[in-house]
Amino acid sequence: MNKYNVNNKRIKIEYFQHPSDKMAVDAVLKVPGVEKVLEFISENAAEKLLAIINDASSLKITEEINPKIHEMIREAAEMFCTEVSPSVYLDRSYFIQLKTDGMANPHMIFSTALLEKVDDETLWGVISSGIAAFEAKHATIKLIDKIITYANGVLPFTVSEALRLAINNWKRNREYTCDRALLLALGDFEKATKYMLLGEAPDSTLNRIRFSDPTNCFYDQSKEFLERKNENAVIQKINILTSTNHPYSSRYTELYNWYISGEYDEVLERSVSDEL
Amino acid sequence: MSYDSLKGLVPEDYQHSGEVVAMKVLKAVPLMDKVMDYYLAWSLKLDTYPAIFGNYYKVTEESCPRLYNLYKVALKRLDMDKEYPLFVTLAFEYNACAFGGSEPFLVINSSFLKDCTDDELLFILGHEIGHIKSGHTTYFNIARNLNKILSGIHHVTAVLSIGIEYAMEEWFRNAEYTSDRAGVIASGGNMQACYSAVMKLLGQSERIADMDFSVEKVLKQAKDFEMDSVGVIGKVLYIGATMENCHPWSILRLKHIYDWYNSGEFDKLVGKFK
Repeated sequence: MNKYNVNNKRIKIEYFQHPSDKMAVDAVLKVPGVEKVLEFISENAAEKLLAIINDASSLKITEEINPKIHEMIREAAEMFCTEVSPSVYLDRSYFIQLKTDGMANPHMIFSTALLEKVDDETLWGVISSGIAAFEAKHATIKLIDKIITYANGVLPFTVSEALRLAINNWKRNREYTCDRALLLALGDFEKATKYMLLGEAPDSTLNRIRFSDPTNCFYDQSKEFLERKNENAVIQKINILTSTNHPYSSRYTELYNWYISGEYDEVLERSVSDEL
Repeated sequence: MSYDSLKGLVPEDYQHSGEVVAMKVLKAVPLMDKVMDYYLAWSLKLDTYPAIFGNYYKVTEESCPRLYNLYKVALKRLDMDKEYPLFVTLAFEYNACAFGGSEPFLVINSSFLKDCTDDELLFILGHEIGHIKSGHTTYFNIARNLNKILSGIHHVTAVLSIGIEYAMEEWFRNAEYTSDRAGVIASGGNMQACYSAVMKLLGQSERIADMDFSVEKVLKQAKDFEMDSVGVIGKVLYIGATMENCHPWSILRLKHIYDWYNSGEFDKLVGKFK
């Protein structure tokens, strides 16, 4: 019996992957031979380096060190119908985050702030969103991003900048997929939104807001943000694409709209529910 | 093997083999250390000292007795006669540094004070005092400035300077191993404290529940990590990835401390001064 995936959901990535995220990944993989080339680079260079860096500079969280995290990973993989089994590391950072990467050798890196701050239920949701990232093949575009960074001096400036903006646009869209995975795992819109905004406001404030209620103050703020964005659409789009963070208002609005559109319920209905 | 002070201790007693050549070469450049000391004294007085004295918290017996007393213990164990100004700055990152030429000072981040035990702090203070004792505070600056001058002369030397840059950073990393050994000496050979101090740099935190990071388990990761196992491509990638790192990766530091202590070198060193 599963401990964290309490409803024994089985959810395929195509049920909920954000269409723009899927379109970008599919477009890359449709180019003949590109998957093989990326796999080759990944296995022989990029991931080799990442493995060395991780093993030499981060604490490895083995099953013996923390069985709970490994159990959550296994259950999340089962829920999202994948067999991915990443290596797990801990990195000292005050950013509340879980990084995932790797095609041939997938790995997850937890920040200390994440593990210090979240409860087990939220951690389960965060791990699930990380597993969804593997299943959505986000590592393929991450690798292209790395290649562009290394080829920065070789490519003409306009080409490399255009590619960078396109990748940043994808990075925003892939977060929508991971936010959906977080919500599906938690089954609780309030909890999913609170995690998204964790560290951005005091806990007492986050606990007070009912994020699923369209009269909440953050909903108003997000609405205002989107209106301002639409006023100067091109400039705002460039601002978002060139900034380091994806505005929380965008992520919240996207998740909220998906949640109330009925798509969220549809995904849950499609997921096969095993008898306990 | 307990001791209050290793009277007569010199850096060469515990110097890492990877920095012997670099130090010899730089020390052989006539008058260079004098020139650099003069330059550092002038430039530090101009901007660094006012900024440090104006923004950081100076550690004295009165202002921060816990840290001050540990500092005195570390200085004594490493046989340092002079007491250099020590400051605390407010920061999340675990970091500390020693800076300056013939008038060096030390800075330690507040996060260390908050999270480290006294024994771990002795290792950290000893590491920074070790940089001063070895003269790194002067010679690092000489190396950096020489390379800047070299890369500015001509494009050909600019290419050459990439090689020199790598060699220089490799020396800096090896110098960190030397200073880690100074940290071990300052801790009085309390290896659990030395290992756990380095583990904190890696992210080990008391505030994370259910995480059984015992020293033994992390040491296993350190012992399992072998550069030989990464192959030629791995080694090339390692050079690229560490090109600009002035500190070695923490697992490697743990491994070096472990290997040095278990080789018997530490006991031999302490025995020499008994």
